[in-house]
Amino acid sequence: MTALAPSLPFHRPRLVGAEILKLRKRRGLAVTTGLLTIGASLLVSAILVLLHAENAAKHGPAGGVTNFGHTLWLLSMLGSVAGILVGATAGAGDLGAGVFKELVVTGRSRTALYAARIPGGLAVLFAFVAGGFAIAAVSSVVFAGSFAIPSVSLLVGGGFWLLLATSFWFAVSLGVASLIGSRTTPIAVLLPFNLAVSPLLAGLTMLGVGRDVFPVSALDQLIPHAIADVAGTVNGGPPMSHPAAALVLGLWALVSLGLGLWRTKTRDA
Amino acid sequence: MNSNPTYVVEAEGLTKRFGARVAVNGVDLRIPAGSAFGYLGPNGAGKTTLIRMLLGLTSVTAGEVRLLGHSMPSGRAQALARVGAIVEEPRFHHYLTGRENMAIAAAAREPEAHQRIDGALARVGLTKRADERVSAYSLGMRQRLGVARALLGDPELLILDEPMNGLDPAGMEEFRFMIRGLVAEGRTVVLSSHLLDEVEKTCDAIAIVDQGRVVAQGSIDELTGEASTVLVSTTDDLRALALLAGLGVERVDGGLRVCSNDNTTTASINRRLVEAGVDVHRLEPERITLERRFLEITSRLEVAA
Repeated sequence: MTALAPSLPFHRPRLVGAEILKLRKRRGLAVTTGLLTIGASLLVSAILVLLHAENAAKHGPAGGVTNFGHTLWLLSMLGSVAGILVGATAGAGDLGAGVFKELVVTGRSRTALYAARIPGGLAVLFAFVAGGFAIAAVSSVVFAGSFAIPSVSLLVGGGFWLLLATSFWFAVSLGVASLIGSRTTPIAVLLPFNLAVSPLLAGLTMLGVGRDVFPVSALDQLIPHAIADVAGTVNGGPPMSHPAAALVLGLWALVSLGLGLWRTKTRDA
Repeated sequence: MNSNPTYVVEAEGLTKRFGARVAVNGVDLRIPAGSAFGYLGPNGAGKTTLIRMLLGLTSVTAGEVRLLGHSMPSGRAQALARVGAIVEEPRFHHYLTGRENMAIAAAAREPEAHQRIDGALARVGLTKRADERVSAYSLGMRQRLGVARALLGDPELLILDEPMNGLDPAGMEEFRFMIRGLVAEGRTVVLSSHLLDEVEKTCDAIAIVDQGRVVAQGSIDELTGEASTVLVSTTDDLRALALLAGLGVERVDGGLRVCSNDNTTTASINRRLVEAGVDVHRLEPERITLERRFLEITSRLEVAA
């Protein structure tokens, strides 16, 4: 029997590795997330290429800034859905399987168990989102034809914005799933909130600056201008500064993650 | 902090309430190090709740717990790092293999835990099936995988809640050998079970819990052993009944049950019958089994309640 120092920092990467293993081995989640990101990007690029090949006069080249903007916007919507799915699974997977108590009895702190879900889930999510983005970026350059090629700064800015949008919804979903101990409920609540309710409310001018509290409004403010110019900001929220938008998103994420942590630390395992 | 405690578990006045219901009621419990300790009780007696309190899985309403010399919950991390446990049915991610589930549990423990995976799987006889998904495992295999997982931390103390559920007779015997092997290595094994016969064969000491209270505690020898009765079978039980009438005797299936004491020994009963010309077929001091003691105690409590 050996001695042990249970709070040494090298435990965390192994916990993160365990979270990645749990998520990447879920076939259904991997297939769905792959379809929503890499699959969607491939499909859009393929359709644009085929349309252009079929009738170049009617359909312009498949690449360029405009098509990149449209694909990026689509990826942000579908990637957010993927973020919600991955977040809910990371947040409630152990609880749902009854494995949480098995991890708690190791003596590892509940905070460490919870914290490992965040980088673990993001690693899995980003792998898919980055794949989808890479296809969109390469396609926008390779098939630009007569269209303007996206600049490096636009590609980088678009990539960061995509990661921000997807990781934001991942964080909210993870926190809510950890809070209520269910995988399906946060998916059932957050998907319509993200895709329908929030954009609808953000578009109601009668709500005035109150619309600023909706994440879709804040995310719209942070989209790179060149992409917003071509893809538009469909959610139609009121203008706000970048710091204000970041504050709104940060508060949503921190409150969700904080509530999830609080429940993880206090719940009966 | 005591690194080599005499008692691996010390609980004083441990109480757990769920609203108005008292699940665990002022339990005092001391489990000696290096033993196999059985924790027995009827369904709903509060066995699992007590184990969950000992392990910090649920909060304590009142009372104090020391685990491996560490006060709980302040010394929880240090104590639980040296504890392996199965609480209720062992649970796993069914879409992962046995080995992957072990790797996930090992990640929550010290780095050396990963190196113990193969040994733990071999110890419970799961090496050949370790790379199959847990969804394909039988209940007995999941129990054994649960034990393997509990061994990952090289524990000083193993707390196993109904670990023999789902095991066939051969599996139970293997399990019994494994428990004794673990105790022989200097570990302490706490076994919660309703299989009284298995506990009697496996454990050195027990506590019997009923309605949230520990109602009897001691070594197996103290709580079982010979009773003060002798079972007698003769060629003429009616005559034997008359001959032994003054001793306290009753008819039972297959013969008579005679009360014995310092003055009325098995030998003196035999002599009295033989001298009267009654042939004796059977003369057996009755043994109180753990099952009988358990039923005596718990049924007495039911009557008192």
